[in-house]
Amino acid sequence: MNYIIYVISLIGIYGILTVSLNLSVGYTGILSLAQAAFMGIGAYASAILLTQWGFNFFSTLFVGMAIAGLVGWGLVWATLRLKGIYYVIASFGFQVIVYSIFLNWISLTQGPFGIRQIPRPQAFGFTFLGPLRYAILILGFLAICLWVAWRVGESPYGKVLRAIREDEAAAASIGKNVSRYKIVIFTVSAMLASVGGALYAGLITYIDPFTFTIHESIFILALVIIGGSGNVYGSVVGAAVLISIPEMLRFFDVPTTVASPIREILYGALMIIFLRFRPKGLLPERITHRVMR
Amino acid sequence: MAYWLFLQLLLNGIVVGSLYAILGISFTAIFAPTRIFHFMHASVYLYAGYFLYQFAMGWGWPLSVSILGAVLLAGIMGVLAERVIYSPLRRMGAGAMEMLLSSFGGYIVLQNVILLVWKSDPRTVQIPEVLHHGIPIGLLTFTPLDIITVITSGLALVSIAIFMRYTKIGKAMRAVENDPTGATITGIPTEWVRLVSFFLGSILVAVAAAFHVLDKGLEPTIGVNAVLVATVAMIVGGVGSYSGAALAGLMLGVAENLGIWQIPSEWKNTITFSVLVLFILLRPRGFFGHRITRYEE
Repeated sequence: MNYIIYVISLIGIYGILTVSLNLSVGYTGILSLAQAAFMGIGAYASAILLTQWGFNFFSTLFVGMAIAGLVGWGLVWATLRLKGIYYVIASFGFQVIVYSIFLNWISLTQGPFGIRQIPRPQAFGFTFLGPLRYAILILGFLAICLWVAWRVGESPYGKVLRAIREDEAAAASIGKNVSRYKIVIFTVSAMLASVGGALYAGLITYIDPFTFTIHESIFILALVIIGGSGNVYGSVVGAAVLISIPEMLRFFDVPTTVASPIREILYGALMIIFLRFRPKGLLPERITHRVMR
Repeated sequence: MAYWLFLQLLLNGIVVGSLYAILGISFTAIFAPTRIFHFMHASVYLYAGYFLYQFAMGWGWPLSVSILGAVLLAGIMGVLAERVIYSPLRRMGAGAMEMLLSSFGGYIVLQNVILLVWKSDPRTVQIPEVLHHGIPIGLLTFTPLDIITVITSGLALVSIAIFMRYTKIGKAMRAVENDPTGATITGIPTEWVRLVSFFLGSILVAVAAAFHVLDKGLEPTIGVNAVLVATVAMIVGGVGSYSGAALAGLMLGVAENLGIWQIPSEWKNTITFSVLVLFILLRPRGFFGHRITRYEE
C-alpha cells in the first residue's frame, strides 16, 4: 500500500513539473532544456533551508519560488532575442552550468554527497509525516498548479501565448507585447518547477546533483510531448502513464540494474514513436473557440 | 618553474584542443547542411568508443583494425540515424524541434542499451606501453600518443578542407547548407548529400572518440561531454565555418588547460558553458559566421 502511495506521490510531483514545462513549451513554444535546473533550485533551496536554517517547509517553498523565478526571469530576459535552436542550446548550457554549481559549490550543497535526512513538512501544528498525508499534500499542490496553468492557458491570455507560438511577428503586429508575455510565462513556469523540486526533496528525503541533470530535463520534456503539448490535463495523464507503467516492471523479477535502463529505453522509444505517429500526444491540444471567463 | 608549467599546460591544451577541433568540425558537418541538432552525436561518439573496446579488448583484434572497424561502424550509425529517425520525420514535414526531440529519444535509448550491454563501469583499452611513455624535453614531457593525436587531427582537418572545397559532393554539401530548396532545384540529390554529411560527421567524431578512449578510457558519460564541446566549438567558431569550428575547438582545449593553472579543474565545464552562453548572447555568429539569419526559423 505504501508503495502505491509512493508511486502516486511521484506521479503528482512529475505532474507538477510537466505542467510547468508545458506552459513554456506547449503553449508558448519556448523549448527549454533547463526545467531540471529550476526543479533543482527548488529542491536545494528547500533542503538547505530546512536542514541548516530550520525554516518551515512552506516558507522554503516561497524562497525557492522566489529564487527560481528570479533566475528564470534573468535567463529568459537575456535570451529573448534568440530563436529556435539557439535558444535550445542556450538553455542547455544554462542547465549544465546550474548542475555543475550544485556539484561543485560544496560548502553550500555538499556537492556529490548530497543532502540527507530532509525533514517532512510541518504546518499549523500538523505534520505531513506519513506517506499518505504527504501524498495528499502533493496532490493538493498539483491541483493548485493545474488551476494556475488552466487559468493561464485556457484564457484570452493563453490564446495570445498560442499566437506567439504560431507566429511571433503576427502576434506583435496586433499589438501584443511578445517579450512581456514570454518573460511572464517563463518565470511562472520556473516557479512551478521549483515547487515540484521542493516536494521531490521532501518525498525522497535525500537529494544529490545527479538528479538534476540534462537527462531529467529531457525526461520532463518527454512527458510533455507524450502527454500532449498544449494540454494541461495531457501533462498529468502523460506523467501518470509514463511513471506507472515502468513501475510495473517491479512485479516481474527484474534486477534494478536492468530495470532502470529498460524503463529509460521505453521512454526514449515512446518519445520517438509519438513524435512520428502521434505528434499531438495522448490528449491533443483543444482549441476552444469560445473563451470562458 | 611556473614558466615551464605554463608551457606544459599549453602543450596539453593543444593536444586536447586538436581533438576538440575534430569534434567541432564533425558537428558542423552535420548541422550546417541538414540543420538538425543531432544530439545522437553523443551516442555515436560513445558507441565508437565501445566498439573499439569490444574489438580490441573483447575480441583481441589488432589496434589499427579495431579503430578502423569502430570508425566505420560509427559512420553507419550516423547514416542509420538519418534514415531511421530524421528522414521519416522530414517527409512528414516536421520542424527542427521535432527532429531535436526525436534525437533526444534516440539518445536515451542508445545510452541505456550501453548500460545493459556493457554496464556502467569505466573501461580502458590497452595500448603498447611505448605510446604512453613520456618523452622529456627539458622540463616538458609529452607522449608519442600525443604526437599521433595532433598529427591525425591535423590530417583530418586538412582533408576536410580539401573535401569541402574541391570535391563535387563537398561542394554539394555547401550548396545544400546555403539554400536547400535552390540546391534541389538545380538537381543536387539532397537526400544523398544529407547521408554523406551524416557519414562524414560520424566517422570524424569516431576518430576523436578513439583517441579519447586510448588516452583516458571509457565511461558512459563521455558522450554528452563531447557533444557539449562540439556545440561550443561550432557556435564560437561560427555556424557553417569549418575552420572557425576547428580554431574554436583548439582554443577551447588550450583555455581549459591553462585555466587549470588558476581555477580548480572541477569548474571546467562551467567555464566552457559560460563561454558558450556569452557567445550566444553577445555574438551568436561566432568568430567567422556571417550567415546566421538563415538558421533562425
